[in-house]
Amino acid sequence: MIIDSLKKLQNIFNNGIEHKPSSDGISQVFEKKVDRRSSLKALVGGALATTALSGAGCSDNKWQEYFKGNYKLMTDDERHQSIVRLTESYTKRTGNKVNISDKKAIPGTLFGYAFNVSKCQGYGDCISACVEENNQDRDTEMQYIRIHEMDKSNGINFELSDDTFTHEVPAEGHFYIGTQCFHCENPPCVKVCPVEATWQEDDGIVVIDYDWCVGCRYCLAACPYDGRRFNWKQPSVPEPEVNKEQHYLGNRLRKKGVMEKCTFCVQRSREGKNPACVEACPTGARTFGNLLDPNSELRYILENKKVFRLKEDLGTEPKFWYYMD
Amino acid sequence: MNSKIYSIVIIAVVILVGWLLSSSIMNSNHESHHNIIERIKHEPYSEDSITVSSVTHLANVDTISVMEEGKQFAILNRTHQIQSFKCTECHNIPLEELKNTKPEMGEKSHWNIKLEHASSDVMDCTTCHSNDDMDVLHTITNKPVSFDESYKVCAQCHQTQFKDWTGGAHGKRVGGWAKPVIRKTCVNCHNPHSPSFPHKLPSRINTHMMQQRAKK
Repeated sequence: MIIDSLKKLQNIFNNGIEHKPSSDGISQVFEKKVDRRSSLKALVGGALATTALSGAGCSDNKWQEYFKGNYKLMTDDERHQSIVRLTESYTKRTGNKVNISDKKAIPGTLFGYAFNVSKCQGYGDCISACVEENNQDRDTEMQYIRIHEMDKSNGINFELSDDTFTHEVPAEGHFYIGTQCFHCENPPCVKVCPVEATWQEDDGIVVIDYDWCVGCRYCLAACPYDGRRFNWKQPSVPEPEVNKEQHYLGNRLRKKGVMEKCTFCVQRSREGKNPACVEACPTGARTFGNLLDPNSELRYILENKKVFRLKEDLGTEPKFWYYMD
Repeated sequence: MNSKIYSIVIIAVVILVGWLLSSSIMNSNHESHHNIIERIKHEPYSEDSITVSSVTHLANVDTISVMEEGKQFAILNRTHQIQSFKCTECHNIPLEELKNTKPEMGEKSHWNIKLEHASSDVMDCTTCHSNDDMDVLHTITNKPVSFDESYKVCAQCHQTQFKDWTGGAHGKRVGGWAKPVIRKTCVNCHNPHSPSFPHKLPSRINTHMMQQRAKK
């Protein structure tokens, strides 16, 4: 009932443009087999629809952006249309162009990461590169990567570590460990999301649909590694500093009230490049690659070095290994 | 008697169903693997499906193909990057003779080189550079090594690092993670005359995080 009337309304707003039944994301979401989770989602969708209807004076583009589907449920065509809308709106606002990709996972890839604890000097060049690459909010100084300075006598103890050091590095008697999203094979953050706005892609990258996230921050609480960040305010990046090469699930500009995190630089890694942090590290402490390739650097590290992961007992299976020389 | 047979049959059925269930899960998808290591060891891999390349985004890179520890990869050409190559343009007489005739020249022409690599008992200029032919380096046993393959000179002492480098546990790649593999060599990151990394201030200081930590 509600669904039908909603669809009719949408058709009216689209000025009579014909819609194939169940071709749009909304109907896909609404007509999914109803279990408890889906019905909750339908409720959320309904609430969203009401809000949008009240502002019925807005442009067609805006209307369609409000009512686009979950990224997972959108067809390639719908994704493309959404990207066109997003690019147009950016050009309207700033006069500049962005290039938003929706490149899918490359078959035969499973991305992983290795971090050499002996090599990290705490320079933080990775953090800088990450912030610039991924258009993170400059006002609140959001950073996906943390570099923890550890006292050698304490060993690896995050409670006794310092991630805001300002002195010359490497400091005497200290070593450095970097953390970020570990793209767990068994990610707790994905499990707790009530709206399925975060999921694991085929290449192992855990991504977020910034337009589907409702900002409940369950994932933030579920992550045992402090890998997720929340936009408490509208993120701002000075226009000349905006990285224009973007991915829908990666570094495209976010809004207030949504989650974000490291995506292994999906806009780079799916093009064969290394994430910005790997490229920026001057000491070679960071290695990225395809875990499925038996000749990859990662596989060499896993097979020849003494590797460990953080909180392995939780069974989250992070795809981020630490090792020492 | 009957009840005994029944219980045996029930146990057999339970075992059978359990086995069927577990085997069907095992065959279904990757989630069946016990852990990530099991998965990557057993999942079939074909290089053909990787459609991206590490060099697409690079402007012309000048590389040399090498084969080390049974691994084929490329390294960056070095001689084209050394500003004052060829060395024999100045070093046209043996080093000792040059030192004797123009003692002040050495310091002036290489004023920016300070040797901070092992102790002076272990190394001096001619441990790596050749007295007889300045255009090449040489090994401990005096065999010539081109500047392009300078890693061979380093590998004589730094065997562990060398092995890790050929495998990918030490050093950096050029371009990206995909094939072809182009590696930076020792001298692309380390200054061979003073190889250790400097002490410096962190590149970014996060005042927001500092305030948050101070509140706790």
